[in-house]
Amino acid sequence: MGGVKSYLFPLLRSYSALLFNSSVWGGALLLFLTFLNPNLGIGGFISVFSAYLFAHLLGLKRDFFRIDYYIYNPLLVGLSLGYLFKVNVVSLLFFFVSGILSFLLTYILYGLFSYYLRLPVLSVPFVVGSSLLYLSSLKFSNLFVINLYPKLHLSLPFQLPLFIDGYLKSLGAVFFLSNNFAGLVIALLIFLTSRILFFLSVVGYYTGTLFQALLTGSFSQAFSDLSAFNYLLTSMAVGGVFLIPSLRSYKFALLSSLIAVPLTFGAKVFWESYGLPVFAFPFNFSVHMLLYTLITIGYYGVVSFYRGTPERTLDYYLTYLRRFPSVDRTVSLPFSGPWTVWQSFEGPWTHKGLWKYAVDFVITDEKGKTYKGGGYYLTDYYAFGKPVLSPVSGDVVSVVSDLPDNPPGEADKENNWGNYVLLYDRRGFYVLLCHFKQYSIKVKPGQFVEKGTLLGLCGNSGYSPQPHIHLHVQLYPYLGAPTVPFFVSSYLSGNKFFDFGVPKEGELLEPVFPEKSLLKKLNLLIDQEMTFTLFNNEKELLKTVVKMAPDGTFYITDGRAKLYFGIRNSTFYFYHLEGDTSSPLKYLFFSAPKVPLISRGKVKWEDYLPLLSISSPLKRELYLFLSSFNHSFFKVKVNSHFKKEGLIASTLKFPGGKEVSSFVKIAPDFGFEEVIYDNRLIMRRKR
Amino acid sequence: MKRPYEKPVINKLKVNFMNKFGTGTFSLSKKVRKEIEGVPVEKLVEEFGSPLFVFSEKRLRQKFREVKNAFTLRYPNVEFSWSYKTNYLDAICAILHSEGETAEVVSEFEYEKARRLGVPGNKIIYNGPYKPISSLKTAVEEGARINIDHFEEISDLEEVAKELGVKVKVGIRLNMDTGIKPQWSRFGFNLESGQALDAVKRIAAGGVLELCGLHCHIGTFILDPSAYEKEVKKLVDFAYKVEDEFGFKIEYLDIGGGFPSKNRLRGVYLPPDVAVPSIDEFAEKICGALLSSLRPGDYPKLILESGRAIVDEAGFLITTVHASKRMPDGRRAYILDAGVNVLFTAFWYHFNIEIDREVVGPSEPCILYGPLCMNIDVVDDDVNLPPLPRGTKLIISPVGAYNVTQWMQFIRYRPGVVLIGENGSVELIREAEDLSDIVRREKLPERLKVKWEE
Repeated sequence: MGGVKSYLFPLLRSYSALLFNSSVWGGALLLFLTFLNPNLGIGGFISVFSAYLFAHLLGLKRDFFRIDYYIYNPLLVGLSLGYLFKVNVVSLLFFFVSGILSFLLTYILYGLFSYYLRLPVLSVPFVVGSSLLYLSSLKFSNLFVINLYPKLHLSLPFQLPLFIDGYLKSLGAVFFLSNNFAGLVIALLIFLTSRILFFLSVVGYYTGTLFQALLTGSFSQAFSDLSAFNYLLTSMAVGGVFLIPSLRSYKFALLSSLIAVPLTFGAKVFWESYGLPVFAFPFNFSVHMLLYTLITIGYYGVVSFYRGTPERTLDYYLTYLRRFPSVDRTVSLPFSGPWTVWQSFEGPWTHKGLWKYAVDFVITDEKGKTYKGGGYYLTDYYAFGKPVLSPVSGDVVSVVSDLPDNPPGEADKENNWGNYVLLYDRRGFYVLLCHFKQYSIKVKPGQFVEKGTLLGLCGNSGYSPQPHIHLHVQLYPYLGAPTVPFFVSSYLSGNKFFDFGVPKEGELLEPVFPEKSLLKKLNLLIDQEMTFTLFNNEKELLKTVVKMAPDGTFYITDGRAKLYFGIRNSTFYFYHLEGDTSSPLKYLFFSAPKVPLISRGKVKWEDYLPLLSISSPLKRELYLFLSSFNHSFFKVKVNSHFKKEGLIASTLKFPGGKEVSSFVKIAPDFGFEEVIYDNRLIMRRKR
Repeated sequence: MKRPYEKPVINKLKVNFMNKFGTGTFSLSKKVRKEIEGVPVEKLVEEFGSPLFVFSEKRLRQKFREVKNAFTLRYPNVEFSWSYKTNYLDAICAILHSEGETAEVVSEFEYEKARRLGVPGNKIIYNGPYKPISSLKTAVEEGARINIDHFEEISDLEEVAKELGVKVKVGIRLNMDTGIKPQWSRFGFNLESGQALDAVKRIAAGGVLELCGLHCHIGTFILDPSAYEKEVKKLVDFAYKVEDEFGFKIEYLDIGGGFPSKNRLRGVYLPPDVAVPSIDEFAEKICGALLSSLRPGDYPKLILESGRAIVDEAGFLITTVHASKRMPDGRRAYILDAGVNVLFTAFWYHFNIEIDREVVGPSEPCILYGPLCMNIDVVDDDVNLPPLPRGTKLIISPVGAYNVTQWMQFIRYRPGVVLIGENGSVELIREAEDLSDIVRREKLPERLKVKWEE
């Protein structure tokens, strides 16, 4: 079974891939549709089959077939040939050879496109391959052209208005099934898998055809032109697949389907002069042009990892943005215990101009004073002589340690930065810490320090009227370089835990370092198994195991879904759920999307969940569709706190005001002991 | 403050041995304290009687926060565990628990007392050389952290673990040479002799205990911060040895307590303000040693069981002069209503002794005797006081540590204890005892009932 599945599923998914999703049952339906015209079905199937065999002959690994370009291009070529030629021994051989040819074409074009242009190859191999094969067949008179024979004409038993009929036929034309019955099935299929894609197909089709009608002067011609499928494909690819769905991506979709019109007609001149259809050339060309431009200028909304449908991609993207506002420039607090922010970004005294992204820290007492007694001596100041810890792991670039500490109230105007340590974080930025106590710095240039290493002691050297720690991030390795914004990771402000944040002036912050025992419990290791009983109306067994993905990330799986997790700084995260979203693993995710590794009471924190967590499918899909127009429309907010040690209580606030409460108990050995989510109970089995 | 007129007197010049600290006898100096935290001493005695222990919530909280800040600002993972034996009055423990301290207990009695106060099992650290197996079982069931003292206890805990079918996380107590004399070697396993490593091997071999902590308590009233530095370095080295060789994860290093309070030890010339290092000096040595010897990014929990340093200075004892005497050697002596029965720490401290009123007259060296009919009942054998009239109240401090746990009921009832709240309110936190407290447990066989023939 496993063997059949591993070949069949990628094949079915590649049928779906033509409609920009990866549904297996959708693929099966499409496969079935193509067999309504047996020539078509057999043509496509043989072509894909030969590509498979050839890859096998090359000795390529099975994982290779998961890359859908290698399947859908031979498939399209096969379909295009099956559309043209009647099945017999000769044509079967022809389909077979064409499959191999298109596989090779895909291989080379994939290489060229990804290497030189950093673009997906799309269906360029199909356009090139089919054009070549059609041309070659001009001479192959032993092949029987199907149009000369009577064939089954499937169409709906009633008359549709031309503009609807045209839309449906164009959809069918994607699979060389230009009848309105197939079109209707495909349209329903698209609607069921993704409302956004359906919406885009409609927008794309009518934008393109209306523009074409305006230019050519004939609406009826525009609606019966089968190459109009290019407009809707372009719109779907641009608006929902390669760009994060948004009002702006919809604008791009609309504009690129307009561009596709002259491209289609321009190309037709060449292709049709050889008696060929233009295939998907206009679609490929317009998508590639726009995508190349957007990627090169660094447009923020380009999808880096498409998650099956535009809805899932959007959900993932929005949730990620809310949960991880920044992961590239983060530093931890450079001290221990509670310190107060004296000056933050754009501070009122010295954090101005080029140096506005900096933070100063002091220690204050209950009255808000930074010193005891009269404050006449440096030793009166709470901050003076306290350890300064490295906020990042990195290389020590330069150190100055010999400047004297100023008496309170005075400042050294010659050496602004005083005694300092400049560190280089290998993620690509520099971190400067200054005003150290004279001769207290313990590290040397060239040394590599781990985060949390003792760098030296807080002092009052440089432009510093009272002992404090100055911290900023810069992009160049010299003193006085312009500062850049950054995030502070893992800290408590009052009782509230922040995994990322920008400290505010006057805020009392305490860094959080992972508690060793909690870290050990939640640092789930590969092949660790957890077996749960799920009480949901009836008892159900849930067996999970920890596995590693090829990219080095880890997930918990029950065989149906993958729940990705990880520990970053001092926080355990469930990142996202992949696969069958009905798996009970989702309750684990929704109940504890993040857990700070602290074991003290009364700590609370916030997080966001994907809209996937909305239980009603209708509402969820509607919200997702509407979210694409305005990203801040809907969110699922989670407020969590430690009820007691190892017990997390959360309240999920859904759009529309619905609230769900959940509890998660961390197991005494590793993993989770008990999860209660909205009256569903998941309990770890006795071990 | 207006001082009362004092008649000039001529004192005989006493020629003592010369010493660089001077004689310390300033005949006209006297320390007067009319109130404690704003509450007149007079009023306290009127309402609650004498003798009377008085605790200041403000001082207690302030001192705790000072100690806490000294450590948390230097090391990111610190837990304070309140040493119950130092003072286990409910009110005192409750204040410290509200400040975030967990409970450190050394007997089943203290364990039960902490639980009764509402401390959850996992917030209790269970130390001590004698832990009955029944109490070990309770402690394991309730998730307390147990620090093992000897090999027999390893066996006991293994038995408990097997009976309950759980893997028990434990710590072991070590003793080591840190340069402190006398070396406390009777508790735990000796490090230098290899006994500690044997204990770890024994635990690993048993397979039902999981070693997750190290505990060490080097002594009491330690005046040398660098002793702790040595202790911490040795502990960290040992912890990594255990982690690397046995695969255990050492989650906490418990360095006990032993920090001094501003009390003056007998035999120490210098006043405590000079002789006793500040808590910051201890914190600097301890945290500095941790940060420099731990692997970067690894912050096992530092547990401190400081008792005396936190509570001692929050406690006062008010006692009344009952009578005075002239001793045969010419020294003056006073008989007080409180002695070593309630001031156990008098055996090793010279307390700070203040009087509740201005008293006219030159000070002279005096002896303070307690109310017991025993020769050892001496509160102080050398204190300079003016001639005190009968009924004068003496305010003795610091007495917050150990006295209200080690006091004894010998021929007298134990006095009441009051707490002055942060807002100045005065609350009784332990009533003075009466006869019923003492006879409650007694059983007199019927046949022995006393009947006097009329």
